[in-house]
Amino acid sequence: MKLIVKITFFFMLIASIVFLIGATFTFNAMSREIALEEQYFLEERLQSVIGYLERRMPDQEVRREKMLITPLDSTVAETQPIFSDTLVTHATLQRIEPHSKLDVIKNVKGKVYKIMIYDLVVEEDDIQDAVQESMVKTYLLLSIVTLLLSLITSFYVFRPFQRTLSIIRNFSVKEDFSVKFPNSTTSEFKKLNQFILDMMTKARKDYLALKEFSENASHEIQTPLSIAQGKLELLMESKELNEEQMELISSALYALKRLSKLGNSLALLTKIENQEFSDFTKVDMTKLVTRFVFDFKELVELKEIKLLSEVTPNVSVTGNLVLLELLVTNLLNNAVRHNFFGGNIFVRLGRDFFEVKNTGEPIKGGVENIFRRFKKGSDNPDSLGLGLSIVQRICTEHGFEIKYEAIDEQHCFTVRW
Amino acid sequence: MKLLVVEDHEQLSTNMRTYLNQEGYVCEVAANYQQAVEKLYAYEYDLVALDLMLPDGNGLDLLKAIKENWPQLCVLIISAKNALDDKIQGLNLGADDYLPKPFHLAELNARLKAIFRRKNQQGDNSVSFEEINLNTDTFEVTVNEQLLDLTRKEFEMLQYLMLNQNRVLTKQSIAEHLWGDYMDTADSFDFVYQHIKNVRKKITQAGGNDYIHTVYGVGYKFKKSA
Repeated sequence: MKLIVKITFFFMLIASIVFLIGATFTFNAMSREIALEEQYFLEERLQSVIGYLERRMPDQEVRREKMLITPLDSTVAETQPIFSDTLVTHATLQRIEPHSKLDVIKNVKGKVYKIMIYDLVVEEDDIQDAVQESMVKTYLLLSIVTLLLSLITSFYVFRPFQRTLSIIRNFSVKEDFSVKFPNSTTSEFKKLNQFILDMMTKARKDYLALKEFSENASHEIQTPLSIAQGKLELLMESKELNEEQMELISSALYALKRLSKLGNSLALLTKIENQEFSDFTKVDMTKLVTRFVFDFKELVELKEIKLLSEVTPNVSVTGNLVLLELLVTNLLNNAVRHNFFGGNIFVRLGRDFFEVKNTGEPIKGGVENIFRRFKKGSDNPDSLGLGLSIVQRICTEHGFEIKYEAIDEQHCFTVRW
Repeated sequence: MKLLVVEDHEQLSTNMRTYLNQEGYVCEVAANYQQAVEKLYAYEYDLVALDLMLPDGNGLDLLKAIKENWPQLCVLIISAKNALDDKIQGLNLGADDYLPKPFHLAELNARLKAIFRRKNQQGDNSVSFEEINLNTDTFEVTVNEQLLDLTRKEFEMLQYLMLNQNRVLTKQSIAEHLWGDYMDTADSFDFVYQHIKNVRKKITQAGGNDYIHTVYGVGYKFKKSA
């Protein structure tokens, strides 16, 4: 729900409460005013009755419409007018209606009269109806006007906000940005824009620093590794070394190599993520897959694995050659590494997919983790656990879809484009 | 053979110099761009091993300068920046080869020898050791003039061993030389063993001596006597 709609609804809710309270105020005030007005009216009539009595001085009881004058003993004292409510049968309506009544005993020129005047009153529920009707109508009018106005103003007031939103939506730390936030006279938006600009600048700066760090770290690590490796190789040339010492050097060299590979793989992942392989061309997948299947044939034979391939001719995709090569070799390498001695691999290249299926131990741990860094599905100590992460990263960069399935106790990786 | 190593890490250049001196190279070291240019003007070299990251300049600029002023000079780029652009750019600028750090000294040696061989086109394109002769143009190996039937990988391995005579070559170094980076399993050591076994068999069947000595737990050494 849009913010402005929410605010409007909230406003209308409060308005309805205010209207309810207002209605009771109005009702009370109206009732009071009407009651007073009725009293004035009765008092006025009393004056004209007194005028009539002064002129006529009747001795008999006078009964007129809504009036009764009874002559009394001249000894009865005068009283103040007393107002009260009463029920009287209405002459024309022929039913009992509430009336207001004035009772007074007046001495007119020595004669004493009891005067009773009454008149129809405005009933409470009539007032209530009137108040209710006017309130509901006003409320409806207010609702419509508020909704319309809020829609119109939101368009103008929130325009800078919408623009800010679209700037945020298009923001990527990977890209250099030079955004110009629209000028806004609203102080909240001004603050927001400044805050977002600061945040974007900082995010971009941090990203660049991190990128530089990971590049430099994986780069800088290679030189000391080279030195160590060279020293060990020179040490190996010494004449006096016995077998055990040679083996120690050899394992140290092996560990160094792994460390170097790790650095390179992480640097590669960073580079792919940084989209440094943006040089996309049309790549002949048929040629590429055929070449690597041939290259791997030898490795496969040494492990007595049967490598079968089914390559559709003239398949090409748009992508980065280096990354696509990595994709194919990583998948093939994976299939060889996690295979049985004497197992098999089946490679298939179709119009819109590349598939590698191989025998091997079932994956340890969750299948959902296989593409995560350093998550290994096997105990193989030589596996870095980065190969499939790289494969997945490459697929993401190219917009390919990668899927893992275990079919008939075989591992099957399918890349679709 | 005179070689200039342009490398700012003293330890690394010392490693290279020690190893290459043993191979019979005359090896000099320049620690930065400035020194390298001075040495190039002062002396004559056959080859430059060039690190791309120098404290006072970019190695690629130095490469450009070398190709302008000394076009005959061979250049081997050594870089820790395993960046593909650098490699392509370097080779486009006329570098003869590209070796990413960290490298095996034996690999460096083999690459240097390959560059020299290519440079001396009119020269002998073969490597000989006693009765074994290896022709790098035709990929043929003869033992006592008798042609051996070697696979491409077996040929490459024998060549690597012969180029690094009297050196201990680790199985790892051989595996990397043969399969490069996409062969990183422990299986590769078994594969090296298989290849060694095959090559030995083929050489001895042709009446040659077995010069490939096993260094237990480590690797192999190509040398004359036991």
